[in-house]
Amino acid sequence: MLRYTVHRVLVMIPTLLAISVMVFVIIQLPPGDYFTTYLNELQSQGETASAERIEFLRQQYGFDKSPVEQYFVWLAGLLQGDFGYSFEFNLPVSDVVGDRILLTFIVSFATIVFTWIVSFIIGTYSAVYQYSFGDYALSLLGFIGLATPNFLLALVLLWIANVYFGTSIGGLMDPEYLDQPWSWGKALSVLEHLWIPVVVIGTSGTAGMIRRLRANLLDELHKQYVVTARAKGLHPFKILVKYPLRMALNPFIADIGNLLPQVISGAAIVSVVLSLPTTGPMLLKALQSQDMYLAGSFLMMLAMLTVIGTLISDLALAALDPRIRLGGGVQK
Amino acid sequence: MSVHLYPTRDLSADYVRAAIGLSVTAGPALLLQPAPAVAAVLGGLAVLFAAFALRTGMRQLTAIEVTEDGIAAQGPLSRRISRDEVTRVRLDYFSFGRERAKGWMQLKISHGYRHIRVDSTIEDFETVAQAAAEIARRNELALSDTTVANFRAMGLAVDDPDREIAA
Repeated sequence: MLRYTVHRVLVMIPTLLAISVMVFVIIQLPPGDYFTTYLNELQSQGETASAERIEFLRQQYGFDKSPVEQYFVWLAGLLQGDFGYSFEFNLPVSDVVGDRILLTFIVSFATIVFTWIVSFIIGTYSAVYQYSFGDYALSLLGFIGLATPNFLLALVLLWIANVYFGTSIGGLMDPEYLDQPWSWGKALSVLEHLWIPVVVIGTSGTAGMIRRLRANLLDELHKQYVVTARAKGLHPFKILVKYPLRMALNPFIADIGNLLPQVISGAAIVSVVLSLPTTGPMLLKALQSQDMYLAGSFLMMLAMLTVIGTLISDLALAALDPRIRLGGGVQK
Repeated sequence: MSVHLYPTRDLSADYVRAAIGLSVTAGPALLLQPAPAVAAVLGGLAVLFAAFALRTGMRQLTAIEVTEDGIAAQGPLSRRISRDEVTRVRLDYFSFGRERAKGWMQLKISHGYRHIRVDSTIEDFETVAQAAAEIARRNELALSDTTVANFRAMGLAVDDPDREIAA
């Protein structure tokens, strides 16, 4: 397993470097830079800015250097915890980002846990009690979840939370905790608001996962070894847990890598609808205004989360099922 | 008796991997004064690569012996497990990518907390695996379905079809 881990981490390092190059190229692709956009904005509003001042700012922030130089300065800064400067907010990126990364992580993590728990219970039930009323009802619920647009579900849940539970509309905490340091009250407020985005973002992923788990488990349950175990009088629960469920879980774990980017990109639109203080809306704004360091830092952090998710998924899968597949050649 | 060594070519490749890993983790950690969180991650990864380099070194100095009595690892951490003592045999397969192509196997032979691990990159791995399969059969060990499948993929039978498969 050590050799596998080392190989896997070694693959991850160039992947991250390649992503950093792509992120940097993408944020540099639009013509001009932040200052050009800023100058155009001012001109469209009938205002003017001194060309000398713009040139001075361009030099001060290293925009006059070659893109390669800019890239290495940015990369070294990332490692040192200096994410650059946000021109839009006139603040260091780390100050602008504040709690957003943490809140995004909390929402994403809670969504994945929600997706797993719900889909595990429903998927297992649906497979074991195939074609029962419960199976049909839960499958219908899953399809509704899959088909309902997230923003619509978000609006409905906001209304329900406000009318029946008195939760404030939008946001991830009560307004009095905004820009306040972390406290028990703030944490509890986040927990109180968390279920809406978690349910909204998690629903579509849950539905897909239920279908996958149900199909995999049904495949396993119809195999001969299960029939033999039943014929030998083994307890149905033991038969289920001992092998079929474990085998059916493999795609579940393999999906961690896919789930993370889905959750994060899905959260961007929902965050706008729900006014969540997560990375999505700010990333969108940073990309629109060509606030390159802010956008680049966000994209890099999200990419890193995805790469780490894939690494965890691969390691878990290798530990859970280190089995050869037909057609795979063994290296000598 | 047969003696098996890890080929220099494979060991060199592992040394290169460890060196690359150490240089891209310990290098920036020492030269760039990274943020504490980044330093912790880079430091952790550097320890991983250092451990891998150390293990590769141990493997270079270790020979696996398969005898009539049992299986032994002769080297800095010598271990011997006689055939009758073997309580667990496990054969895992590791590979990259979703297709699971171009991987390698790892055989683990245990007696309580004493283990001998052998990678399929070793010379004549088939002989070691065959010996392990015979031991498993003779000692009537309960093998995981993964191990059984991997032995079967190598063309080695390890169990009666009716015998219960263990976790």
